[in-house]
Amino acid sequence: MNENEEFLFRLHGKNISPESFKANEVAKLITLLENAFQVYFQTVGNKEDKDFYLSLTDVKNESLGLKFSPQRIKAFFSAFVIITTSIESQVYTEIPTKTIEDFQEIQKIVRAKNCTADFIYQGQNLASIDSNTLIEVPKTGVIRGETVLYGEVKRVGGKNPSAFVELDSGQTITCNISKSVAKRLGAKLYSQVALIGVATWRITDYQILDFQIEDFNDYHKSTNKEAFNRLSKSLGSYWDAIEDIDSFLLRA
Amino acid sequence: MIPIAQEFIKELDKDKKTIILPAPIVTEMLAPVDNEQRRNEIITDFNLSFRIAAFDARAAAISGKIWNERRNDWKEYYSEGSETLRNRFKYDLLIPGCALASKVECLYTGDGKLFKLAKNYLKAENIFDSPDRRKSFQPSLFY
Repeated sequence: MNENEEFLFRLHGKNISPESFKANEVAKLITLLENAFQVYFQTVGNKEDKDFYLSLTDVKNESLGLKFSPQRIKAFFSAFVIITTSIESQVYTEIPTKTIEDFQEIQKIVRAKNCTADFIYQGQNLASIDSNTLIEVPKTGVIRGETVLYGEVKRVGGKNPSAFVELDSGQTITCNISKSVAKRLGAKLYSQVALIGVATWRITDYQILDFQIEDFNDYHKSTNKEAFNRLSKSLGSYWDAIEDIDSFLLRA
Repeated sequence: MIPIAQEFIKELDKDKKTIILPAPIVTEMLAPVDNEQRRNEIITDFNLSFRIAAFDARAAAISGKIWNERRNDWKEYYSEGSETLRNRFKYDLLIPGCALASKVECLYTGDGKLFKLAKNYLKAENIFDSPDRRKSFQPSLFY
């Protein structure tokens, strides 16, 4: 791999050229592509790749060809292969739900323009999206369920409200939220909270792919000593009365 | 034992480590509380003070794997092999299940059986086995 490697996103079809797209449609496509990869890196990538962005270096008159120069080319190449393999195989268990949703949005543009979108690396087409490509949140290969996740709220907002949260594990995740939760969660920026919601985990390594926040609780970060002292005060008297704890737990 | 546990908590604070309590441990801790209102107050306090690792679908899947893998050799860890201990094995395996699901750095326990079971799956430590921690609480031989 070298700096001159070419990643091209090409839309082609009858009457498709750079002139057949409004500037804001091109901007939307670029934003969706960048978001799709950003969310991928934030959710399943390495920590150093989390501030990833795409730079558009050329618009080619090959129908509409958008040439990109990503930073951290090795990481991008790996993500590009995983994502294009998912699109080509139409199996989306390896990529975050928000990334899938971004590709669904790209597909809406593809349908509206009646064209095909190709993901090209070094002249080789690795995957295509057309109006018939199946792009959906997987029903198999993942586990879904209610859970509580702890983390720090980094960002809340947007037209379709979402929250950007750094989980205790160091993983960051962008979650869809309702407007009412967004209003309340906005007041908790940079605070530790317990987030209650429905998570989707990849079955192979239990990596979280999606989290829909339904509600949250306050969480007072304190030292372990303070937390255990509080616990001792509230619960200690019950356990002080038990002489043989092992026996109590086995027979209770 | 209490001074060793206190020393252990102090060590974790010094290293800026956060303790996460697996939900099955919370269940055990609430077992002697017989008053509904008091139990609700305590669980509220738990929620405010501790991170509780939920026994969720992911933890259930991992625990199921542990059960399956250990169903024939659980007696090696729960040596007496009585029916009561089999039930304890079944309950205990939920704890590494929650810990793995939460991707914890280390599972700390004072229970030798749980320690032996858990260390097959993740970094685990029996807090009473640390020679340094024990040494610091050994009575002096010379007065």
